[in-house]
Amino acid sequence: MISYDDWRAISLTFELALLSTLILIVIGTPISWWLSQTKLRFKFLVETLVALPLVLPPTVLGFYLLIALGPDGVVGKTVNALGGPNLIFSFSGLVIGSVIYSMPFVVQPLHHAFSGIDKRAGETAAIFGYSPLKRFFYVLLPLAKGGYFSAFILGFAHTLGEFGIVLMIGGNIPGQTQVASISIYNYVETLDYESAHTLSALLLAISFTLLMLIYAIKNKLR
Amino acid sequence: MNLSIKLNIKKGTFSLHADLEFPLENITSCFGPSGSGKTTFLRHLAGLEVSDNATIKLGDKIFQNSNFFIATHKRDIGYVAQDPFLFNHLNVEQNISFGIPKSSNKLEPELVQLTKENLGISKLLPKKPSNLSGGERQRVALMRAIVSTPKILLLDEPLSGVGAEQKQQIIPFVKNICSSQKIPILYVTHSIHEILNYSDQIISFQDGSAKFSRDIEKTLSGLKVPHFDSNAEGTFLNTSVVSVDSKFQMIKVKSAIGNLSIMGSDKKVGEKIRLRVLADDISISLSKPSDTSIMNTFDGLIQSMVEDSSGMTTLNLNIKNDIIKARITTKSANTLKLKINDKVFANIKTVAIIS
Repeated sequence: MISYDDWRAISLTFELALLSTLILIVIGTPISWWLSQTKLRFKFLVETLVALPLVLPPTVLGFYLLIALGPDGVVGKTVNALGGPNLIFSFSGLVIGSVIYSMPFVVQPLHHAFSGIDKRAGETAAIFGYSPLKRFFYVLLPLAKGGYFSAFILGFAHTLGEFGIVLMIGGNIPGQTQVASISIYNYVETLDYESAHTLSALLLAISFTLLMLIYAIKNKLR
Repeated sequence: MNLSIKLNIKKGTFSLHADLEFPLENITSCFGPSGSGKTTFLRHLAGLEVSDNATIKLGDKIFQNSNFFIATHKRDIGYVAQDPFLFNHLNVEQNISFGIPKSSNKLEPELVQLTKENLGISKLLPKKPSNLSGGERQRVALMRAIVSTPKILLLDEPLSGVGAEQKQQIIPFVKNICSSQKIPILYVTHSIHEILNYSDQIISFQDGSAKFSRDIEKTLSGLKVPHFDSNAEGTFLNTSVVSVDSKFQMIKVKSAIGNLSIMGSDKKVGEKIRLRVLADDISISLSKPSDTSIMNTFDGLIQSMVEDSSGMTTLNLNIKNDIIKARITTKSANTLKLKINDKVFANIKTVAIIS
């Protein structure tokens, strides 16, 4: 039936998706806020960079990451020199890859949500003495709630389905980098359709249940 | 407490020059035509708009000078805009509490109670702002600003959507409560009646400059603006700008009764503008006038005629199914032999831009 490795692959997949999405929410917030407010002319450059993973084949992104994060790459070398772990073929490397890969799915809904907030909301809070930090927690966050919801779901779901980047920079190490999509691919490669079926169905069931719960809560909150 | 404010703003065709220093007492009216810079003036005071070469000082607290700027949230001011912002995710009660952050130690239960009663907010407390009328929103915003006990209260036509009768109860209350709390008010209004009755001094905005005076009557009679009182009879028209003719400083707007040409240049195509046509500013003719300086003529049917004791007759004209009020002398009405269902031409002499 479901092997230990399968469970590990599944739990690793969700761990990766959850962690990457949380990191993305944290770094996506200032980026999205900046994009929604700035009047600088080179804003389009940042927008382009953020949206790039949407159109780039994951293998291309993965290839560049492999080079950059590898022991001879700029990032890999620096991290190693600072006493950090090897990024390539490791879980940390996968997180970095996922964060870049799923960036547009988090930044775009947040950007959209922030742009939709009436300018007077912040002004009104400022009038009543709310500092910028307080304005963020008492005004922007509650008003952008829907945007955060979408950002979380899209970022999470997109990372769940990640394949190309993982294959390029993570490889296939059980318990470390072997996520569900890679396991399924392995099964199919070795013509083990039964195991592929089991794992696929499991992933489908879990994803469906999770999303269903989230959307049910969302509609209730409204 | 003195307010000292120096502004020198130039933005396209808009300009505002101010060099004022005066003691704030009770209510200081701000008066002038639309687009003359009243709102810009208040927003600078609030720190919501910034321009170079401005110096603003309230009491001994410098808000802005050439190398210094205090952000809005540190200014401790109250500001109620004509179309105030309420948080739709909070109900009315929460919106009001929002104005009194716990950290500020500003909560005065007695003041809250008094304001709530006098502004008629009690019944609104559990409601969401999206279910409020324009006037109710304004009253809620006004209460929120008062109970936050700011150092100064800036009111930008805060009661334009409130009925005349209620307004006459609210303004004296606001004046009294703010005077007892020692909160001076800058009050933007288009009503001569309000200026004369409630304010002690005036800042007039005209031709790109703001001037302070204690002699209200003299200031008002010296202004070129069409004086209109919010209590006078007239008709409001919601319009949107169709085209702008910057050469003659005219704009063309589309309304339910047809297109109107009006003065104005600081508008953009598509912008929504509310107009007010006073009944006294409409003349009636039986044929379409050809050689006249009046640009806005509309044909309609007389739906009703009411003669009053002062020798005037008020007509309700049906123009494209919208009712426009016109007032002419009863003598003219007789001379023209006007009767119900007659087709007439309404010539609009002037219109005022409300917002």
